Amino acid sequence: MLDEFSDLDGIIIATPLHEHVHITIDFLNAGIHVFCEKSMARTIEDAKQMVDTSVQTGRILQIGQQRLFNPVYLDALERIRQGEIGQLTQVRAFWHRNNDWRRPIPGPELERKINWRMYREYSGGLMTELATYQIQVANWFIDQVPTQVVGSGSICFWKDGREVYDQVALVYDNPNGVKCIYDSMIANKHYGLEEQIMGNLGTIEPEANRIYSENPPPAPGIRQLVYNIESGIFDVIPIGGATWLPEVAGTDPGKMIKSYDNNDTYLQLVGFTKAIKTGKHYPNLLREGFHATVAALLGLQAMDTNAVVSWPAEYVMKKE
Amino acid sequence: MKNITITAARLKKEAIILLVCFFAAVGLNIYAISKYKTDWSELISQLPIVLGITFLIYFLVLLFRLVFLGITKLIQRN
Repeated sequence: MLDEFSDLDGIIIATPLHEHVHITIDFLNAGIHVFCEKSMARTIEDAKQMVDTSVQTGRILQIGQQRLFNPVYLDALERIRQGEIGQLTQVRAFWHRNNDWRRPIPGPELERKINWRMYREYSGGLMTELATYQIQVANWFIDQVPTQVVGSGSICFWKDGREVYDQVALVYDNPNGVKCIYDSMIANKHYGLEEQIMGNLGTIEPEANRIYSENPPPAPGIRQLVYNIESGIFDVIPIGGATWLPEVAGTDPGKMIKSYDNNDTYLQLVGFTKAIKTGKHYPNLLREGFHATVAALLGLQAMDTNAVVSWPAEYVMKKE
Repeated sequence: MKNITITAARLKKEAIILLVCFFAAVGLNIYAISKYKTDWSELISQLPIVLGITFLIYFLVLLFRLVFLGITKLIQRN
């Protein structure tokens, strides 16, 4: 069946999620390298089967987690490894949009085909479409495989017949105690998306390309002097006052992590072609994609069952 | 229309006053660095602010001089 593709070196799979598994396995078995969009598959078993086939055939299977190729993320990771934000304490990630996520359909018979993201049979909703990107980042930066996840999901706003949650909130536990707190929704976009990588000495926000210090350097002496003189002249002397000041968010504008034009989608495809040319896959790249998919689907399971879901040992890929 | 002539002596005098103001601003910067224990590199990095303060002092002195001149003229007229 795949004879007509025999002269291909590699293919890119960007079909609806539930189609990934059989296309990937067929091409890997035909000796063709595969780049597959994230998430890997609709079920963890399917994703595991894809990994096993890649290992057995020796063909490259790369998953479209483009942040792994993004220079800002790579630089941020290096800064974390160097201890620039101290000991990692928490990752908080979110992706907020404000639209119904629907695409126009020519007729009702195509509803499930075109709006496949709305239906459980084909999609895990926010978890497989958005969360996999950010949970991959969290796992990568924390450098652990989560032990368990709890979560809660609901169809809160878009009550239009969809089967997938339009709002999710989860907590992933890691062996080192670092928690990844994740939420996503599609009825408010004020906060957009971010991964907030927090340590005891600083915070990194790679989407915003900023790094913040917990103890930013003081303002230059002359500015402090001018400010104090101004305050001395114009400030009102309070008679009594607050005994407690709220711990409002820091106002440190932070520093840019790395100057970069956002084209990581292109970079990951360049990476895929390089891997094909050399015949060698990038170490741990598939592991990252697989763990992101497992994390997203376990999260979905936790929300569906309203239970604490542990990460099964058979779904832990060892580091290369 | 009356021509206003700015003499070389006047220009020199104003330049000297401006220079004194600049040194006063630099002095303030040195005082601030030592008081708030910040980095001595601010002697260079904060030059734009020092220049701003220089002109502020210059205009304050100019204001004072104009007021003083006005009072002097008033006294002389009387």
